[in-house]
Amino acid sequence: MFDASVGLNHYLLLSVLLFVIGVAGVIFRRNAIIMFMSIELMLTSVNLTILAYSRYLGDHTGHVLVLFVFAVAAAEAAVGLAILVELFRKRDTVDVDRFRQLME
Amino acid sequence: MEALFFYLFGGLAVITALVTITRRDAVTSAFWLIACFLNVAALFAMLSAQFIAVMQILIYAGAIMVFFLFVTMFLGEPRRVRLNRGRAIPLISTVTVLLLAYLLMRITNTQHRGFPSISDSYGSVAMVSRKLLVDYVFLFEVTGLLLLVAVIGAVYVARKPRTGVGEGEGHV
Amino acid sequence: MAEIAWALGKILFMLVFVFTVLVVMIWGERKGSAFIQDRIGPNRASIGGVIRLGGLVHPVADVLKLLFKEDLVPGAVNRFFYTMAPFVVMVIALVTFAVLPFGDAIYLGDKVIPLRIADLDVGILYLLAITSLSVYGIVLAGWASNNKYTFLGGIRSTAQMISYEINMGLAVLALLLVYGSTRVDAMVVEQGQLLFGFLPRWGVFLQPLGFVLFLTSVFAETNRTPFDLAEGESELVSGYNIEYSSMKFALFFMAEYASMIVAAGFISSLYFGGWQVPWLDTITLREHAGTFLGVSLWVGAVFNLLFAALLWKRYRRERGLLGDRRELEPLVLGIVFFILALVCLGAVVIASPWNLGEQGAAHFATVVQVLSFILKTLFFSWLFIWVRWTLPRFRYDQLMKLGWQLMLPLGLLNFFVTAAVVLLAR
Repeated sequence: MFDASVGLNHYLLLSVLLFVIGVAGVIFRRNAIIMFMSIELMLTSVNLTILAYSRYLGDHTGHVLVLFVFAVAAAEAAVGLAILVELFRKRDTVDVDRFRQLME
Repeated sequence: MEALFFYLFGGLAVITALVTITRRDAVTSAFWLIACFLNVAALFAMLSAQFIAVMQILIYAGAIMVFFLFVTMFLGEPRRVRLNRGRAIPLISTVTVLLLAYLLMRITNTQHRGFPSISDSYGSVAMVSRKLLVDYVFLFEVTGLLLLVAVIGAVYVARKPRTGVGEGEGHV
Repeated sequence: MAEIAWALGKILFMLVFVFTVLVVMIWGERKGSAFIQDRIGPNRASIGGVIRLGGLVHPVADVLKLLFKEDLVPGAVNRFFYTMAPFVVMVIALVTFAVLPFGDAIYLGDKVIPLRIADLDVGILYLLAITSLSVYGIVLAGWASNNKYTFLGGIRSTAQMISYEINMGLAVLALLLVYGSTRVDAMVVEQGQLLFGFLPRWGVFLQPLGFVLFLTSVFAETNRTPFDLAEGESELVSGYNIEYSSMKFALFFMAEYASMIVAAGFISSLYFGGWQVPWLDTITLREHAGTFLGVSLWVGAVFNLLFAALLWKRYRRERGLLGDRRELEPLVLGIVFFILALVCLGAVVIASPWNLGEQGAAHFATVVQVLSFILKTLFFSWLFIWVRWTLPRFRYDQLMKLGWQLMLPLGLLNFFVTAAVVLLAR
């Protein structure tokens, strides 16, 4: 496994580790912003997987997919943070446990 | 040499990611996440995805994270750390750990898969753009639409509520 | 091995270049502001009481002073990020240089050595990426200092960077359309041709509006007046760097100038032909290298003699006025210029540079081109100083209005018009 040349498996392993760290962040933290950042981390780890496979297959389709992920992540960050700002204005906290009602 | 860089950047990415989710306030977290993204960008570059690596820095580290920081700094710091103590947590954690173990097992059991050699132009701007703007041009346009919708949505959600006539003037 | 040596050599050249120009720029800022405000400016620091060089010794004295100052760290700061911030700013200012070409490729035998540090396919996008990171140094400093003024400086800087990066990106994208390449070296090579047969094909003539937008955004990105709201002395004391002292402050100070030099280098490379000498392409330069060298040596000899004579006259005139060793300075400098004139003359007579040989001609062309790049960069560095002491600072709402309501539509217009023209011209 830990031989000199780095192959696809190495990248997959790293990607899994990063993804799990992201999952842990979402599960255990209650700060909405840190949860949000953990989601970004998970997206990045998926991008790493896609690029590693792309490199393994010698194909560019994965690169395009990653670009789309970037665009979606940007859109998600814009809307998500706007919602957070709005929630903070109303409730003065970013703790997700305090947000219990959908209609506020 | 390549292995050295892989373990360097990979290790740093994992460490910074761990630090990210364990910090008390979100601003520190954001700084560490930026460091993590830079390391991941280095890994992208090692996978010959030059263009994507630069885009990772430009979009993720340079734009999205600036936005995160900006919002976080405005919202202020929480007084204490609260961890999730919901009833489902043990279950979710167990499932996650099992999933992690399974994935790790599968990956480590697979035989070593080295990368094939590729041409120098792999991952260059020209190659990726050709793929993006010829084969996937429709999706590209749809993504543009998505971003537009996101901008409008964000502006709509975060606008200042109009309290009186003329008071909303000057705010977006 | 040889490649690594060459790469290190080029990095060394760039570092020496940046730090030399940096010192000259700090001097230029002081003397320039003095000139614009009708003052004399710094002229007291001296070497041995004799050499003052019109204040050029001052930066050396400043660095010495800052080195030996106490490095004070306030108690309430986030120590790790507080220490890191100045390094982040400096490193980001310096690494941008990697894609900047400072001369045509050198040919040594059958080896080709391109005169830029990194051969990146993404080229100019690298500039955008690194520029987008430059905000973090300021935000880190502002946030980690735990001071409301620094914090406000950091927040202002973030919003400003986000706003102006878009304009910069749009200007650069229009350039990409014109040159059809993301590589900075390819762009510079393109600018060596002539437009309509008499104008150099510089970016500024192809993209006049884009140039104005790029220049303005660069001023905003380097936090320079009229966009220096992150420091704004009259509003935020000194903005993001209040809590820094000693060498850490010096790093911020130098990084500001370093990023200006980088910006000047990019302005000259993208819009003013970089290392290209206008109307003289590399081939012409090589063919007539001997003539050019001979003529420039003669001109150099004449000018050095002229300087020496003027300084001698001044020494004669001012002798006894000051009454101390300072009045020896014109004499010492005059002797230096006289020796330089003799060197030039000697080179003309002894070495007979009119026939350099092929290799020598190529090297001469390279030197001239590097000088051309340096001169252009120096000019745009001076532009930064010039603007700072001419224009007042914007108000924050004016800054935002300019960025979003004027420059963004103009940038989009420029982009679409360029795209249409490029498409039609093809």
